Amino acid sequence: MSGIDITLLLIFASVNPFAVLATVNKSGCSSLQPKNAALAFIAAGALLLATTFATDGFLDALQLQPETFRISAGIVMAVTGGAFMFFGPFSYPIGEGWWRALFPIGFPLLASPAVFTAVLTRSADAGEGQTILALVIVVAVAAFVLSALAGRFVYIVSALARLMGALLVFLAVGLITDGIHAI
Amino acid sequence: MITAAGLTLAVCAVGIALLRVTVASPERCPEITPDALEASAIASAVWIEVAQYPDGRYVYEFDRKTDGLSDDYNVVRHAGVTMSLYQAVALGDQERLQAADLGMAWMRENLIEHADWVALRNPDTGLVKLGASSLMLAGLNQRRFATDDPIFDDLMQQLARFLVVMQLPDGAMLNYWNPRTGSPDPTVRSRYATGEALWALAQMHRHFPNDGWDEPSWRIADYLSLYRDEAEGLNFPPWPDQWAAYSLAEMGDWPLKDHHIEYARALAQRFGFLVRVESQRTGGAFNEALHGVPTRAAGLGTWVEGLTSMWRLSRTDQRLSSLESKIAERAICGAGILASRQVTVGEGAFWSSPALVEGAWFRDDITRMDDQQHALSGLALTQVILKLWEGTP
Repeated sequence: MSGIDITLLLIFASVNPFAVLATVNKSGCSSLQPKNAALAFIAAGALLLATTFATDGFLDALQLQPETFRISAGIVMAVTGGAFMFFGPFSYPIGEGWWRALFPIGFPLLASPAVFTAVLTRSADAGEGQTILALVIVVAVAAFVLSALAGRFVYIVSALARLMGALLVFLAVGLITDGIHAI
Repeated sequence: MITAAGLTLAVCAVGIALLRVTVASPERCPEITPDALEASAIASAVWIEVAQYPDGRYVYEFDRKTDGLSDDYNVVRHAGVTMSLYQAVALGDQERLQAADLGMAWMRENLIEHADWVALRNPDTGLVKLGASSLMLAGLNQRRFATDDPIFDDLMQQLARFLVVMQLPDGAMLNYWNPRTGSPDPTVRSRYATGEALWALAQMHRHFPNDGWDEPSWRIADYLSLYRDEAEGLNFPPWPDQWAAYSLAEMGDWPLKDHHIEYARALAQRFGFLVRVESQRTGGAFNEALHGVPTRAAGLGTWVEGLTSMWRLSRTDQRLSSLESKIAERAICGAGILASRQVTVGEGAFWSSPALVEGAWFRDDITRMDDQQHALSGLALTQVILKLWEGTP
């Protein structure tokens, strides 16, 4: 797998903004407070950006080749995607208070383990530049989805979250296969 | 909220831990210097020499716990071990020539003649197996390459003619010649012998470019690249065939066609994956339960041989040039693992027959001659890569 298109798809499907929105909808909040939403995006973005830059050191510390990490990343994504597909969006209590922007919105909804592994594997394989560009685009799209669709089309959003989960499983299988077929 | 956070973190922690002990466990590639690699290769070659009987045969299998030698013998492996010694000579270790020639002398005494060809037969069973003659010829090719000595040229031609007799129209090779019927056994193919025959014939084309050895070679190469795995029911293709890898590297400047290159790429990927998996095998009950028992040297050695061949091809053929550094990395990793598992002089001293322990690779206290054969070939060939690698700024 190579190219910005795959990086974008992997990170977007991993973030799954429809699932984040569906979780917010499920919690009974009609929408997030703008300040909290901004804080959640900044926190998640900062974490993922740091992860991008720390990829080489992280894989070295784990003593893992990028090709082998691809398989692990694929498994994490497949499990996450499968969970969305079969069980629907996660349920978390979401209310007011800045800390709720960090948990659960920042982590684990926006910056989920699947997103971390997507960022790590793409950063290792495609480079930091491409990964950062993809992150910026995905975060912007996710912010748009969350603001534009908040409290609306609840059933459609929930269905889209499951569909995105299916896409994530599909991509994850490709990633695992790629890791096995790599030198 | 605290409960939700705690539960989330617990699930993540369990997931990370599970991954860490399974697919994401550390890949350990022991550091190895060119000198250490050379010492390891020499130690394995010395084991082969020590284990050689005066008639040219080698100790087939040795159990260091019982100090017992096996009564079994395998002619194909004899030819392989001898070929490996010639490879070492071709790579600059001239001291191995005498032992290799002694091993060759035993084979020359066990030839069967028919029509215009000769083949190596098993003196005990009378069986004429293609692989034995292929590896004998491969050994003679290496000898010719190392010494430029034409003394065995006629023998090489006769052996090569036997190989061609064993070829089917689809390029595949039959495994047995039946001395009773005076014809090949049409029912048995071999996953090993086809690649071995190709390598021997492809090298013949290097030494005798006007004799038409390239034609049967192309047919085998096509069969291996396009049909073999399916025709012979080999699961999880491509079957990691280091003989095919040697052959493709040998044919690199003919040049190869696109489907051969795709096959070579798939082989490189398979060898690389296998070495990565092996690098996660560290032994011990827990690790073995999750990752399997460390592969014996006869297996790991073949993967390293395959990688070194693919490395050579990646330097010859532009279509594979992007893989060169990764292939080199994996070959060096595999060689490092091999060297780290070899019994050292100090470790060997504790056993009853240290000379048959030092420089060898054991599993369940048993070593077989092809453990040293494939390890020697893999280590000696990786030296070329490592020296270049170390010399590269």
